[in-house]
Amino acid sequence: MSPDRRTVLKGLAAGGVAVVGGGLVIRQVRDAGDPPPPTTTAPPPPDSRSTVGDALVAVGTRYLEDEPQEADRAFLLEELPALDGRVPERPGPMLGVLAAQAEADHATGDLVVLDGWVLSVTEVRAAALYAV
Amino acid sequence: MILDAESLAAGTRLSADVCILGAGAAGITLARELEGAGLTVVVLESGAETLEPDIQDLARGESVGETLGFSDNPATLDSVRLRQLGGTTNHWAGFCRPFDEVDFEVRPALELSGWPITRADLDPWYEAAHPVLGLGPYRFDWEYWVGQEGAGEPLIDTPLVRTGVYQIKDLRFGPQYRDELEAARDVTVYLRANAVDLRLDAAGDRVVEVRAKTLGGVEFSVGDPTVVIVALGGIENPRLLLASSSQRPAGLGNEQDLVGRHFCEHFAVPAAVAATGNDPEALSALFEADLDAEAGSLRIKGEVALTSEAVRDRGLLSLACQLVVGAYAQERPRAISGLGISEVAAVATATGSPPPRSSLYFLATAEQALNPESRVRLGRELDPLGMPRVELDWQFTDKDRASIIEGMTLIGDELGRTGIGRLQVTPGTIRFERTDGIRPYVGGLAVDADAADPTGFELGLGFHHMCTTRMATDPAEGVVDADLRVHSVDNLYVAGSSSFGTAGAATPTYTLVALALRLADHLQRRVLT
Repeated sequence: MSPDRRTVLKGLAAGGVAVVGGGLVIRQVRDAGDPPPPTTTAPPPPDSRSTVGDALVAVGTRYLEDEPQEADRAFLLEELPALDGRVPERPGPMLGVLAAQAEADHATGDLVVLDGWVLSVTEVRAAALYAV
Repeated sequence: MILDAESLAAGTRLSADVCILGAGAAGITLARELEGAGLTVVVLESGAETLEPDIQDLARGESVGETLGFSDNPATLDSVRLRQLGGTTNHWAGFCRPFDEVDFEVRPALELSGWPITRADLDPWYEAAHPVLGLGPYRFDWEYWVGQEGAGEPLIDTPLVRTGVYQIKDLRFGPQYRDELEAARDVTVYLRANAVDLRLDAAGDRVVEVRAKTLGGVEFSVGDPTVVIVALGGIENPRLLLASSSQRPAGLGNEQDLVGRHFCEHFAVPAAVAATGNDPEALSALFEADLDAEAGSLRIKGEVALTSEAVRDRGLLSLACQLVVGAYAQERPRAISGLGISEVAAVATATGSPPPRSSLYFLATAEQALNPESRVRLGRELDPLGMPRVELDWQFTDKDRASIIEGMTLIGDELGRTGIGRLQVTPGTIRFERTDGIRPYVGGLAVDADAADPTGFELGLGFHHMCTTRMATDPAEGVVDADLRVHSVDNLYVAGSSSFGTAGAATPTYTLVALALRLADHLQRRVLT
């Protein structure tokens, strides 16, 4: 018998992330002959799932599932005064004007949890503008 | 010196000023401190210098409560503790950092909380523990270590969420201190020696005899010790006190039915993923620094933890997280259902946050609330020495899970407030998917939001056994006092994590060594003069 804790916990580590009790070490499982891990400095690859427009629609739709009464463009614009009553056609550069309001949400606890994501109500309402 | 109890003549009655039961981290620390103090010290260690299966089998017991570990791979009581010289340090991971200030405080949200000592009381002993454990300076702030190493960066540092540092050195107390114990003049360590009963004097005030046995059948005793210290671990300490029932049917120190109760573990929960604007290489330099370090060397590793202010003011249990860092470009958790990291990161960037550069995976270590129904008992089965085997009934409550959710949400809130990133609280929803066998980290994770169950996610554990003879000023709330003395027995002390007042979120060995140093000082100054 060899009651080694690493053996005990082997199964806790499905996929190679080992959780070692006594210190809760997260160990990278890599055999000596394995090639080194990929570099972390390569440029980001294209990500079809995360174009800003698609992402806004996805997040906004999910928010409106929980808050259907907010599926109202006028209401949303009223809650986002920095947008001056207009929905930006190029959301990437234009929604940055909401940064201060989003930060204030965290200070005041105006948070929304969507699928576990901890988000400010401002950013999800901004997203909802593209989902109504 | 080190002797084998199997070589003793049957009926031998040893004498000693101090009798220490157990030669693990606490017992060896106590013995080393008492060497040279003009006292005779006998240490009874169940194991030998290496692990022997028949001796290790004495640790076998039954778990009748919550599953120890994850349901698909439960642990057993004889696999998480080791009976050999050096005890369970023979397979510990060596993580050391002090308990936080709040861990010692009375917290209205945590019933029975509060130690009879403060963090400030323990600070000098924490510092004194560093040479014992082979650690570096008494510094656990990232500023110091990043300055020393010249690399790395913290994730966050706010009044509510801090970046801290573990010092790591997996020092095995047996091999490390074996020669010192062998050469000791005042200390005699008996291997293969199992304490089976503590006998009191006629008045019932003092332990006057420690009865012991070997698996080979030798029965012997230690007579008239001035002090007896039980240092057998968080499960065996209450077991011996409960089993010493020949004069007190409920066991020693158990007048209030507290011995063995309040058994605490550390929950280990894959709790969250995040996208942040940090440079992943800089984060890795601090949070994964131990990965490339040479075995046996002092290592450091960052953690993200709730501050004492957060725990105190929000009524939370302590919580700290280790991180696995991936480059956002290549490694990010896949969403099986619900919103994915890419969507959220894109929206965060559009609304003014920095573009994501890192993907993070949070492994939380969380404090368990004190629960009198979580307990160590004696089972019906007897071991070969005639001792009842241990029965562990580990119980936790919804409050434990709720506090993890709330604590992680607070970390997510702070990451968002500071513009560092966005965090998904995902306990119980993370799946590991080995991808290419090279770096199965964040890139090998998938998150299934549909599987989220905030009241039923699995709680892994840290194999840290605590609070079963907890420290308290009031005998109605704890088994030992601030000096680790059993309230109802004049010369009986309990060392180790069983005497912690609460469990905190820090790994226990560093604190139990500090407490052992403090106890040795107390005994020399106040008791054994």
